[in-house]
Amino acid sequence: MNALLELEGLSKGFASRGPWGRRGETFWAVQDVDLTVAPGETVGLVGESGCGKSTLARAALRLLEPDAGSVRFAGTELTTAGARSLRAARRDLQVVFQDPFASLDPRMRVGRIVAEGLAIHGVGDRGSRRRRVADVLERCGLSPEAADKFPHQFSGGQRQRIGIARALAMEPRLIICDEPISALDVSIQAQILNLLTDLQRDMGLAYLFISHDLGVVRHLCDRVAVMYGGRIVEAAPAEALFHSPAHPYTRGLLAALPGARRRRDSRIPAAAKRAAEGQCPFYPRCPEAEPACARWDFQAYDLGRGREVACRRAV
Amino acid sequence: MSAPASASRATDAVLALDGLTVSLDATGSQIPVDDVSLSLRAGETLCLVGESGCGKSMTALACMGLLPEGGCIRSGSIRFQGREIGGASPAQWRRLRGDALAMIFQEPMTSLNPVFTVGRQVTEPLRLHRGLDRREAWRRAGELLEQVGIPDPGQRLRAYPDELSGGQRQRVMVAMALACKPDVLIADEPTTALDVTIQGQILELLADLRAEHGMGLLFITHDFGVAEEIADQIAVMYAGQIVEHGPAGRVLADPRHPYTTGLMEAIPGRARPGERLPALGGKVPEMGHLPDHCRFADRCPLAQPRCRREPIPLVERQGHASRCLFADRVGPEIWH
Repeated sequence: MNALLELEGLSKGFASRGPWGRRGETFWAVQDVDLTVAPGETVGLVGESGCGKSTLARAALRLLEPDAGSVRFAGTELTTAGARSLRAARRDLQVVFQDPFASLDPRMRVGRIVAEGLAIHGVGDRGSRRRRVADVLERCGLSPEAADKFPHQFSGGQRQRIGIARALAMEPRLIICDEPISALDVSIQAQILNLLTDLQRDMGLAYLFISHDLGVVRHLCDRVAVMYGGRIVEAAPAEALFHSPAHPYTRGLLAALPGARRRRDSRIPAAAKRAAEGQCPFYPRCPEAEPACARWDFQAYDLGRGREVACRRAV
Repeated sequence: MSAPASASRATDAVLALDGLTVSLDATGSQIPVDDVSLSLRAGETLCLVGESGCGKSMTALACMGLLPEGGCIRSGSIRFQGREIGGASPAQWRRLRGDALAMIFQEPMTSLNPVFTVGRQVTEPLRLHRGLDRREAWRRAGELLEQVGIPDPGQRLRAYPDELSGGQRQRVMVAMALACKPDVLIADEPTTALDVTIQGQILELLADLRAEHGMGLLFITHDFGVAEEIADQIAVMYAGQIVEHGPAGRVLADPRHPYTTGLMEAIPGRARPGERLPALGGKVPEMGHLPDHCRFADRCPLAQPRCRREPIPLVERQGHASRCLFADRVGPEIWH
């Protein structure tokens, strides 16, 4: 498979400060992650808050500098890319953030926000950029007059459409969406999901879709990766993952979905301390853990048919 | 035989709203809550479902005497354990709030005071309402934190809110609200910002408290999955009005208002993967410009000229009420 985005052994750590400002222990927010997204594919990345999914997105975009591993996008190695080739790659690699209130500059008119990328990359002249902005705004369900207004004049759903229009203006091949709809009402969520689906069909876009909402991921994604404690613990085609989850954490997440069928005994504890070095990352919280899981070097096992799971009991 | 169901409901109710209408300004042009009647019995859970701006949070704030500056109850009543509290004085409200009537707010970071320790805030209702001394209140607060599943409560009591994770803060809010074992707890989207595993734990905790000492729970949510799990009754709000109300099982299995079915159909996970979701088009009418007729008509696939002629009443049939002239024709298929 020719991947469009390929992460290999990606790690990002944050050092805590020890006594007297000395460099303390390193907290690995993302550890040794492999992940690929093919052209036109939607890959979901799920996990609870603090599992490292947003750090992964930021490291892949080099908004944070990764500590180890590689990020290849359309053949370019981004981790070592210079300013010029990084900028060129980012034309095709766009991002939509979670908070449509914080991610748009309140002092800029929408037209300038959407055209900013085009201007930076020197695409077309003023007139053609104006036309492109009107096009993408319309494509995202906003009127062309929206270009002359400021972000505060729009609702949350409309602002998220502006964020998508900004990403779309560059005609990217991949958009990384970091919880793009979790701040929105149910009916608005449905509108934005439909918009993402339509854009993908019409423009052959690929998405890396980060979310904690399993229903949304199931609806939208071709493949799903489940993250826990900075690691990917399971990856599988969406259908297979929801039908027969292989990792106890995935099973726990699915069992915790609210509804009349949720059973108390099926739940995993809501929180636990972080695993020690040389333990399965899920060990302190795992309802199915065995003593041997406390001495296990993390590794992913191939289950065939595109399924991988990092649990020693699954094989 | 016994009196009609609605009459006995009203007398047993621990919390009863009758025709509650809230205005946000003196002129009455902004009516976020319009003629809302609900009643909650001891040990019962009522889920109030709707999207942002529908008036569900304003209904909750009115029940707590916490309407924003300039806001007032224009008409209708709020009775708590049979006593009218709609016109209570500030002193009466202070005695009630956090004691027999408590609330969990949606946003724990803005509802906790950042300059006081968790312990100081959790002990406050105990010292104020129960008159416990400092020592006894701290001991009790530790028990409460343990009860809501916060590890190492003794140490957490000395922490400041910013030292806690989002899930822990929300659980501190729950502990504060439960400190005096309220008879009625109002919870405004208490689990929306939390991970599903913690959400499950908090829902179970609330269910236990309800069962143990008959607490009535008014639970505000936009999540039908949560409502399915905990609700005895469900009321759906749209543009300030209740548009559907009934026993939870019946509202979920056989919704009788087009808005309710529209919301349910818009939830991903119910549709086939990759399929377009039937999205509610258009938008909620603005508060200052609410039509006199059906407020949902402009977004409704069933709308007829009749719907735009006059106000639509909330009509009850066998305990299940709908504010729709075509309640019999409502089904999921109208959105496809």
